[in-house]
Amino acid sequence: MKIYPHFSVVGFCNTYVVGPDEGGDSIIIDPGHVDSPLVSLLCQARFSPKAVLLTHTHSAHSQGLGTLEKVYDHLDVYAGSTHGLNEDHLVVEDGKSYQIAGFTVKAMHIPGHSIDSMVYVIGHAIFTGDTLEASLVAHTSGYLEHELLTASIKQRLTSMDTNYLVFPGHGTISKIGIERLFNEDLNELDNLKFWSADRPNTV
Amino acid sequence: MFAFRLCAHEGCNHYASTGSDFCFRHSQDQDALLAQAKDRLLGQGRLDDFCVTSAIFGPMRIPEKKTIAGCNFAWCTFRRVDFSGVHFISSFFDFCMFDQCLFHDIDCRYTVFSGSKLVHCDFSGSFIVHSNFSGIDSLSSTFNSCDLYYSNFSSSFLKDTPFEDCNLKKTNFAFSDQRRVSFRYSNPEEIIRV
Repeated sequence: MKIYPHFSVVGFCNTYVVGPDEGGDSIIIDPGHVDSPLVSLLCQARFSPKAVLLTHTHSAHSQGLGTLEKVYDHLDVYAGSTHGLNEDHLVVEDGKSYQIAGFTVKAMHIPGHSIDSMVYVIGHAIFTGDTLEASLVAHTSGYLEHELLTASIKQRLTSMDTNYLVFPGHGTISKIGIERLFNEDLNELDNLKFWSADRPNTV
Repeated sequence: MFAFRLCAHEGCNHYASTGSDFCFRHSQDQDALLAQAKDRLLGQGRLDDFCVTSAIFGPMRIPEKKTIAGCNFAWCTFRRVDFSGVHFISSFFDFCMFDQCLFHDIDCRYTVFSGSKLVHCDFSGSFIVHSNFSGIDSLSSTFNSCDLYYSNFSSSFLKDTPFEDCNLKKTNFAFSDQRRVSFRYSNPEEIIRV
């Protein structure tokens, strides 16, 4: 399996292209912006895109979808919701595995950053979108959402094998083992929990 | 990307080396594995999807302009290895030990050095974007004249490590411990989450 990252200058989003070693059917994850370097990358790798996975429907991660659909015929689009998309796009369900372009893709619904935030697992690669970035947990609209998101990440993502590779929607790539050790957003909340449990309720 | 095969040794959670069922530490023929890794590193042409962990590399000069892509060298030790002019793409050097290594003018994208220890290493004049240095221990190393756009140094321990004349736009230094670190002629105002 080949995984090529591409930096979209619009929205500063990472787009990933996943395909077989020898070229062929491929998957594009989070097409924030389609530019000529992305198309060149697809040509050089001899990839023909068959599907698009959206980790969520924020424009920074999905704005290039229209261009892709014009350039490539018969693209299947998978997302956590069809909000802002065409009705014929496919909605993935939490915990289900899908056969897409020759790969087994497991979808995990981890809301918090947005209600439709999905994480996709392909082989030993986890495409986390904005849910988990290197050393960061996604921005949320409030403390409660942040707490719930952090709990979900610990329960479902950082509990995975330490060797799994993390490909986030923004910033640098990582491994689950690295996030367990150095993601201060996760550790900070641990400290807060410890602190609050230790103190009597003064309210 | 390198194959996701874990070492066949019971209880071992490291990746199996390319061409073997075992990781380097549990391999019966470590010399052959090391020789293969050195050949691949020193040979001409790209090094793609190669995996060896916990190996120890002595003094050597990696050919200039060599591309290392989709490789995993986690937990390895590199002593006096000259990587100058090498291109790194989507590769993993996490929890490594780099002692007196040279990284002049490297082109490094989406590469991970997290948890590594850098002692007397020189990254000056390099293009290091979208690269992960979280949790590194850097002692008497230098990142002068580097483009560090969107790179991540969070939770790192930086001692006597100058970042002079660097592009630090969107570079992350959150929770880093900095001792005698200089950002002269750089743009620290554009660092995220200091």
